[in-house]
Amino acid sequence: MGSRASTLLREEEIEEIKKETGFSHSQITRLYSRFTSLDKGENGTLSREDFQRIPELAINPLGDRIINAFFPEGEDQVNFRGFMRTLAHFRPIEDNEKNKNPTASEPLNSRTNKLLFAFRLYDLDRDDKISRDELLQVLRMMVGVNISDEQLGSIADRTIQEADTNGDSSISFNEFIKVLEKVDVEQKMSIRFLH
Amino acid sequence: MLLLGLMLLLLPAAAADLPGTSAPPLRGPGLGFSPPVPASPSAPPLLLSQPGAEFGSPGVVLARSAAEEPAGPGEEEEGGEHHHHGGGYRVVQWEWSYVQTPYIIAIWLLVASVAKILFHFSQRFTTVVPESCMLILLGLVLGGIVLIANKKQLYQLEPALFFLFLLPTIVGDAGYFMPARLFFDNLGAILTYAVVGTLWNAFCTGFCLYTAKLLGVIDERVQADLMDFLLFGALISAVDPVAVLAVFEEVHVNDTLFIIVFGESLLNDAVTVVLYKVYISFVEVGAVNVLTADYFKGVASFLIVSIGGTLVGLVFAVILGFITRFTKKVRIIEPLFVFLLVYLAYLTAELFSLSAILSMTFCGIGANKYVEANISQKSRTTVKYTMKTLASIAETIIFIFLGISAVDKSKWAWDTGLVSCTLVFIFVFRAVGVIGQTWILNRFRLVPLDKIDQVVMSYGGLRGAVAFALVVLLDGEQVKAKDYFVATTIVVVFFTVMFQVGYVYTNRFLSLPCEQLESTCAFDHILTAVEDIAGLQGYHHWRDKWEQFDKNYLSKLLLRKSVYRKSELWEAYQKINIRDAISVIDQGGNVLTSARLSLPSMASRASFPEVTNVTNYLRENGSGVCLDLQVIDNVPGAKVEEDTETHHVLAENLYKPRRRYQSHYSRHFMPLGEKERQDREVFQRNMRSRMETFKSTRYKRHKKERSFKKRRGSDAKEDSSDKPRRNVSWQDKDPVVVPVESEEEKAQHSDPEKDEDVGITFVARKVETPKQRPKSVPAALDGCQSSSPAPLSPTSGDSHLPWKGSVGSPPPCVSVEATKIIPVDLQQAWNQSISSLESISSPPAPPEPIHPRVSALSRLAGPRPVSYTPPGSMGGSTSSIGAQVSQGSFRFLEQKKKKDEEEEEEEGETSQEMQPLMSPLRPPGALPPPPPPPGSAPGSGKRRNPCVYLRSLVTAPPPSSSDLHSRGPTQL
Repeated sequence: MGSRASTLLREEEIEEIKKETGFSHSQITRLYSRFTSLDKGENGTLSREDFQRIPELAINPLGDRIINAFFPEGEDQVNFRGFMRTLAHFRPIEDNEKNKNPTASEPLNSRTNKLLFAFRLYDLDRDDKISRDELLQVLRMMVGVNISDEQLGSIADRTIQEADTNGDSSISFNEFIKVLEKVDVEQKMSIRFLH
Repeated sequence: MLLLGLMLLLLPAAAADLPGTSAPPLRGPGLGFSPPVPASPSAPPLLLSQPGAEFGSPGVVLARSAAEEPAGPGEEEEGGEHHHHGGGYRVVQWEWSYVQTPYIIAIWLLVASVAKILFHFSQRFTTVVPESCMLILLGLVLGGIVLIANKKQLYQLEPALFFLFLLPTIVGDAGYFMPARLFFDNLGAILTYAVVGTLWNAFCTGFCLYTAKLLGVIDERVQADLMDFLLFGALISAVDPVAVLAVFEEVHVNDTLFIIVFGESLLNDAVTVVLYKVYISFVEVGAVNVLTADYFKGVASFLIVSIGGTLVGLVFAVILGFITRFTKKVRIIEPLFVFLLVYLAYLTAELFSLSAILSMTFCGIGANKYVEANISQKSRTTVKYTMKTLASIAETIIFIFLGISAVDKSKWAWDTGLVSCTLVFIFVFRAVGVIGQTWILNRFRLVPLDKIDQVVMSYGGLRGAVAFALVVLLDGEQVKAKDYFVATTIVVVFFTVMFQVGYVYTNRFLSLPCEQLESTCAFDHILTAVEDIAGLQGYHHWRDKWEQFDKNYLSKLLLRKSVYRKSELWEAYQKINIRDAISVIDQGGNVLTSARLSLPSMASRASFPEVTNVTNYLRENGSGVCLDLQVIDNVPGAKVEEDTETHHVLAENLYKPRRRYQSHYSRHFMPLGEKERQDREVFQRNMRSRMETFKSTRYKRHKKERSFKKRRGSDAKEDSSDKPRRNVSWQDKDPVVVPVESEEEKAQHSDPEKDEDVGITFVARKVETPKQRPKSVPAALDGCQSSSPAPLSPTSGDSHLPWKGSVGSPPPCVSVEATKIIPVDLQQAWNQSISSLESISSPPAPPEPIHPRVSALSRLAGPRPVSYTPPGSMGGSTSSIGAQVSQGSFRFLEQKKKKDEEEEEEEGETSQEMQPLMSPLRPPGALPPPPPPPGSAPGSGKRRNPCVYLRSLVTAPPPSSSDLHSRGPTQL
């Protein structure tokens, strides 16, 4: 990958991706065509600009954060493999996957991984904690201009207060999981990919 | 006026009373509800007794001319009271028959409107009972009053009135403001439900009723055979657009669900019309005489009616688009064209007995884009408000009349068997049909319809005024059981509107705890974004094809030249821009790496425009709030209150993810473009953060190099390169700015196509700009706050921002793919951002001989400061100079109010670079004029911030570039 020659998806790559992400063959090819259509530079990788060109993302309050989530730390290109790996977080959990043998490594679309994905969107500095500032930033992105900063601050405080169990006035991943215990994350963080 | 006062007083009382229990004691309603007078001379309780004698007075016109004053309605009445004893010449006369018809219409509208006011008087009330139910109840009450007073029902929903006036207003509004993208995304499902579902309902209901009749469940008196029942099944099975619109916008279902049910209700019109007509003809000729060929004719007729209706609509859409191309000189009648042509589409379809609803819907959908682009902003607003007003009032009247019609016993006959059977059948078959079709559809749908959706859809199978009007239209001679059918239809309509909706209505909200609310909202945003990235939205291939076609042919034909040319120009610009930018940026695509670094400042800029150190401020301020909260926590009650309040605030203000957008055809509450507003805000934020990222990367690199140089001991060079540049730019600012303004003006005069709205905004901006500068500039220390318009902060005066006032945005550019998503007046900004992105990401190209046009442009926008940069440093590091240069090139614009601030931090400098991003967000006419840097520096085009370039593109059209160019050097 990464070379200009990789305009066609090779079978073995599909197999590898299949194994890693759990997508079906047709899903992979479908998403690959999407990938190539996004890839305006035609170099087998997507840059941030490629993502930013998607018009819908320009009006998504969290758009840029999500774009960032596609890029591994410190990199600014993502190849198809990485693209699929991120998308795999959103694959619905299928019934036959639930009682797979537990020794296998956790699939990307497990509840924990889905939550981790969401958590990372908040956790900008990747210190595995959502600080008040980080929370406030996300909140600010998601609310309109009508809400005052004081209100927002108090909301952030409340949220942290309610979630924070160890008193470090920030939300750790465990606390994050706990807050969302009752939310049907499996369903809410799943997209139906066309077969 | 007295009368109106009485009406106002009486209405609540009347509404509170049960039908029949209230005698009509006062004159107030008497006049309002009094029938056409000649028809009811024998209704003493309702009519004013005093002026009664004058009713018969002949020669209304004569009498009128004799009247001394053209009395208003209220005065007329009073006058009648006071002068009833007098003979001979009368000062004021009672001329009821003269004003009768319009008067009654006006009074009806008034009653309906006042009823609406009253219903929405208490928010709590409307959240419990849907408005449509209240209107029907009110209608029942009014009908009861009239009936008791009059012994005879005088008002009822006349099919002609309904089909020719009331229905078109509602359908026209719905079609014109139909979210086309959503509609076409779900077209498959909509068509399935509309065609298959309606046919299924019609046949099953008809046959089962016939079976019930054979089994003896339905009384013998109902003289109907199979054809009658099939006819009845056809008219009763269609979901009604009026009821669906009225009810679903109150029941807050998600967008997809809404569009499916609503689309179904519109598109099934063709099915209903055809079935209805076919059965009527069958009934007329008698079931025995129906030939096999007739069935095929029925199918053919269905195709003709539906496709023909659609075509008529599209033809009128094209005409409408075409006409509005030429209304530039007569802006005032623009809205009229919209109404007339949309209405004509309806009437024409009726004329050829095609599906009028389809015709009107598609006319609205098709014309919307072009009309909105062609007509002025004010006309847009007018169209919007007028349509909403008309539709709202039509809907109100329909429901009231439904209630009134139900009271008239002479028109219907009751049969419990028929009524209950019909109710059961339509409900069961609707549910079965929905479940079955959904099961099939879900195999193809990206977002499957879940159980709740199916329940809502089953319940959402509302029958309404269309069914009622159709049943009233039946010929009593042909259909013996008409009266029974009327009664059943009324019951079905009431039942579906009141009970089914009531069910959905009470179960609509599931409140989430506060912290979950925000995270679920976040989840939805994430999902939406990932869907977009994965490209899972609908039929891209066809959409691309259509957009291509639209761009190549339709837009050329239907869009005003200025609008169209503008977009063409933009594309040309972008192309040049890209080429140019390729040579500008020496570094590859890794300019945006530090996105994460910039995000904090972005959020903070949005929130604290006046405070320098955001983090500290937050801490301080936040801790204060924290303390407060803890105090509150000690009081249990207060905490709950606080909780609900917070929840409320959050729920109100969180951006709605796409899948939760409320449909925007609410006619009860004007939503003021909630979605648009949101899109705009988010778009602006995103664009700014992107640009900031871009900038911060540059800045970082710049700084790094700087410190590196410093370490090498080349400070002197740096300083020397800094200072002159600054000074010069200050000196320059006035002479540079002024000519551009005049240039702008000139451009405006010379461009006859330009929207006059823009001119106004433009002037306003010029005045305001200096005012806001000093405010925002001190905040520049934060590195990002000085982006002067700061649209997200109320402090810098939202009022003058064009997109806030929704006035003065220019005719939108039509871009290829973003048209549907990006708010219309932001599309230029979008195009720019895209082009700048492209320029960033493009690989560096060798400084090849520049295309003549490009070179002209690059000279036009070329960074003058290069000439002031010592050549040594220029050779030192290309990138750093590139950045400096670009900053310098528009700093003088920004700094014109702070000449004396010598301490210009680097951050401040970089913050200026935000300006280009801010400016694309403004409509071009409102832009602060860009500096026209004289292009005396050869090769300068090579190192230029594309943003600067972009900005210059916004304002300076290419034809005038030579102008600028020639003027440039003289200012140096």
